[in-house]
Amino acid sequence: MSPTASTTADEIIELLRTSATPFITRHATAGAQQLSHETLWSEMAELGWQALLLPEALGGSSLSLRAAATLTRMFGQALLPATYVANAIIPAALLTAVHAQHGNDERLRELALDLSTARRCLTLAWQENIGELEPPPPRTRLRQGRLSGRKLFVPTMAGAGVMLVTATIHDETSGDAQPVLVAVDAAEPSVTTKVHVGEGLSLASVDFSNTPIRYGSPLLEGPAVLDAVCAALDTGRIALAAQLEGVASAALERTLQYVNQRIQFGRPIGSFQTIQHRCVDLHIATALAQATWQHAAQVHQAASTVPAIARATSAAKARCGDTATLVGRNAIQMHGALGFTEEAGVGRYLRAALLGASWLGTSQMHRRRFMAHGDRDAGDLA
Amino acid sequence: MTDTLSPGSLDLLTDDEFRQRLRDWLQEHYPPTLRQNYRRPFLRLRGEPAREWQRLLLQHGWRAPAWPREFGGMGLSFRKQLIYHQEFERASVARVLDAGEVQLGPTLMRWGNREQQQQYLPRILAYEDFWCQGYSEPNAGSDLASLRTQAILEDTHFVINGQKIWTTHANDATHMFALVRTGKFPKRQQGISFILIDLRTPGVRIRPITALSGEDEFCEVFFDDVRVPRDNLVGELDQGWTVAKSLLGYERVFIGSPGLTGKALALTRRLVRERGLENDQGVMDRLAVLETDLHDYRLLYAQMCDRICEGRQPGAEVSALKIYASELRQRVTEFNVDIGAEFGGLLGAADIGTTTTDLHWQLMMTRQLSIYAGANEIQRDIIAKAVLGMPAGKDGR
Repeated sequence: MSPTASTTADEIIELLRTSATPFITRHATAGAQQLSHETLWSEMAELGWQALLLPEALGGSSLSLRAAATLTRMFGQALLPATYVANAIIPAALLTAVHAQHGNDERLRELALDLSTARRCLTLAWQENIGELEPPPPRTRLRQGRLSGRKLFVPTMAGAGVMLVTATIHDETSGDAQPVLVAVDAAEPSVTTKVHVGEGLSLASVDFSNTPIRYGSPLLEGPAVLDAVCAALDTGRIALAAQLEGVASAALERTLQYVNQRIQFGRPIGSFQTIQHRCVDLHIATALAQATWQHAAQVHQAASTVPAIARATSAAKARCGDTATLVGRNAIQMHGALGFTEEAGVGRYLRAALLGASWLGTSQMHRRRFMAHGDRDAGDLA
Repeated sequence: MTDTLSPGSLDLLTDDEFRQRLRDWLQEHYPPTLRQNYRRPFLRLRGEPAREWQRLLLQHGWRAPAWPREFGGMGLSFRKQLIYHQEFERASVARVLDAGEVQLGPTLMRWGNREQQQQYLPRILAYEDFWCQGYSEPNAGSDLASLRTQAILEDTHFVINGQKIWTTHANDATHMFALVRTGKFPKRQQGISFILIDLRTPGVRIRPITALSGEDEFCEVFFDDVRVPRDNLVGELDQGWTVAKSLLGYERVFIGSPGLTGKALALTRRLVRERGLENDQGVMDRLAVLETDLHDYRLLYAQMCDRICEGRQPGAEVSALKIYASELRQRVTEFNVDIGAEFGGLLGAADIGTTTTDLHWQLMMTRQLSIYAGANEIQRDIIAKAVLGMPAGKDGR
């Protein structure tokens, strides 16, 4: 779907929302069986969603982050997995950033095609420490075309896939070290993974042991690698924030439905003031959350400075993470005993919130980054 | 020059031109000694300083931004009213609580007769009359409809007996607009009338109430056979509830303005620096929560204002602004007390490093925010029913 000159950004988003609704309705499960990620993934590809953020030069539809976030919000509401953020948005943003450095690169086009056709899955492996917000110079090493090291919290992939990995290469002569970005086939025998399951998304520890890289050489070298990864992560964080707000809003909506029909003491429990006030506070919290990711998407779109994007992104990720867990916990409480059963399914909102709130930086870490990129809104007093 | 522009023509400027012109004017004309500062971040103007300032605004065409031009106001669009508020905040202008301008004026424009409009509106603008609002009573706070101050019609006059309480700045005021009981009906909201009272009428006694902040902004007002001309009735007899409750302007939006919270947080940052707490991670993490709360709230506020600019009328949803803004400002003042250490527990002004502040004052000044202009509990009740569609409780409330 390519936008015509007369189609405004809002119209595009409306079209996207409309085309997504049948997909969501078909796949939304609240406590039902786990659906195959492969099925989901190929359907999304048919709808052109993996290609949403790719530039046209890489065969994408070059839509805005706001458009992608509209989708992820809907996914959040329907408790669909966060795999779209992990395996589409972040890789697409990374390929886009690399493309901006390299331009005409056959390898990038191949990877982009893998992504947009769902021929292969992509994932980014950058993290090496627990509780890490931004990529440090990697300990993972590239030596003579082979990779060795450990990456943490790598989103897993359905089926065959390619990992985009950050590593360090040491110049034999000068001894200089610099970061590189390489592509690795996940199916390589020298790659071992330990998978940790989360609600809708699994994150793995990945060990590389002299693993050969694809293409024989890095996709990108130098400080630009870490910048590209940062940009991709922040893009992912904004989309994830939208997904978290969707989780929060749906959890609240479901809770309102429940309390308004659950009768005790001869009246709906939603008629009791304490329940009402609690729901109002959750409503205000989700309104705040929604304002933050919308703002972050706008800042991102306006091609703002890296600090401005980091600040807006951290505000959104922190707020939406906190809000989703807050609403998730309260949803359980307001469902009474039913709330803490597996079968009722209310707990899935909290699980989805926990994953989104902790992955890609906790709220506390993001608030610290927000402060570090301070632009003081309020003036000083006399 | 602004001085020669007639009220109303300022609305024709572009937003940026308007902002700049106002900014320049405030820079030139607002007395620096009256600026909100670290000592008094929420300073308000009262009495003579308020009168002087309002008259200066009138003289230069900056008075009554929300009044239509036909009544002598600036006739500003919502968007420009927003800019107006922002620039006043930016210039640290101490607010005047002008109930005459903000509440009575629009009420008379909508419900008053021509004689009342002609008699009172110009005097409100010129600050010749200063009005206070007489609604709450000792037994009628959130449950205002249960008010009992009585007005009995005796031929040409109403005779008023009763008491009002929490009347802001009654001790400065010349007049009061009040809700009084004029009839008895099954529904308590009926039988209430909206009436204008000259506070210099015999039988009126005003007693200021000292608040925890040390300020005497609130008063009791006693009425002992106070005779008020029948013509002072605004709207129909027994229909005052409708008059008072009808939506009047955007004040419900502006009450949620993040500006004053920004002042409180400016004090916070100053105190953190003065006490050398920048390396205290615990303090900085708590500060980060408040900073992001304000940052995010500004976004929500801007979003709601944008919707109004686009033509959407503010509904029950705006109660959320009052709730959040008031409670956030309270939390900031509480944090200021925390990081003020020993000074947080003491009264009066103190020098913390090079900064003079009054931590007790700023804490106590915010206690009323969650109570006045509709207690936050009531605001939550409103949102639950009107926005979330939750069911009424026993007795249908």
